[in-house]
Amino acid sequence: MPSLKAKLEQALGSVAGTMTSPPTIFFGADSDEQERPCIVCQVMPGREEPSGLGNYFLPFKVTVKSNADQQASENPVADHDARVSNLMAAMNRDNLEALLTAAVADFSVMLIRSRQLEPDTEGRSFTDSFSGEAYCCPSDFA
Amino acid sequence: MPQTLTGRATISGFTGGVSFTGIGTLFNESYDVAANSTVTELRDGLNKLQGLQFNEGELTMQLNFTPVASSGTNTIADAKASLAAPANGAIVTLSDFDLAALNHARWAYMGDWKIAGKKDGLATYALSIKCSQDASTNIATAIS
Repeated sequence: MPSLKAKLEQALGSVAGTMTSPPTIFFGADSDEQERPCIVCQVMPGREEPSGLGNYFLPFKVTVKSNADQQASENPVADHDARVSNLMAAMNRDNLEALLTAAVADFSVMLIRSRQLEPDTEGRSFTDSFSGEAYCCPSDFA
Repeated sequence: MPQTLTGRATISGFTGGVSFTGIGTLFNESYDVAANSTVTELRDGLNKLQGLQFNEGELTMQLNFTPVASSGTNTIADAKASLAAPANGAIVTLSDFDLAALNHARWAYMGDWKIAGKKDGLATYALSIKCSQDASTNIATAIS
């Protein structure tokens, strides 16, 4: 049975995969070896709340990564921006909890909070992250 | 002389059981209990203090919960049902609290139910209960 972390990463990847022209989606640890353009769905350590119930606030990050040297494009910045825009259209939804819950079996997301956008450029590499905290548990609710 | 610290047993958590008549599932968060006794000073004709007469007062307990679904059906509807307030004066039974003197069914709900919800967090549920410190006085029975 997948861990709660793996379920949330799979759910994020599933929703991110509904974007227009999705690039390759990776899960878990970020790595410079992941060929760009790509999307990385990553879940970080979180805490249980309330203690003893099995529900967790898990920080997550969905990152669009592009690199001008790895793309045969005349305008890699515009291409990257288009991917970010497409990802946001898929993820920045008022029903994101329901979309994530529906994406994976035996999994519920009750709340998404602390949404953030984190753009970054380093040389000819571009990354934009959509991050937040998911309040979730490894059970289905009726 | 300095000593090596090897640890001591302490009291932690909120493991006691709280049951109301006709209420949903509440997940223990925190509690505090306070005693309130009255004291009468006994003085002589020169106003010298001769003694103190204590009258057994009351215990008031503040209880804080997280409303949750029941473990059996575990539905959203279950969780919503747990937001319901008890009836004023409902009898409350405490069990398995660390202080054994608190474990009895002579507690009465005081009608001050409060729910706090917030956009980016969990709903919390608070209320208070009261009993007489005199074990022969059952205010819960009297009210009901």
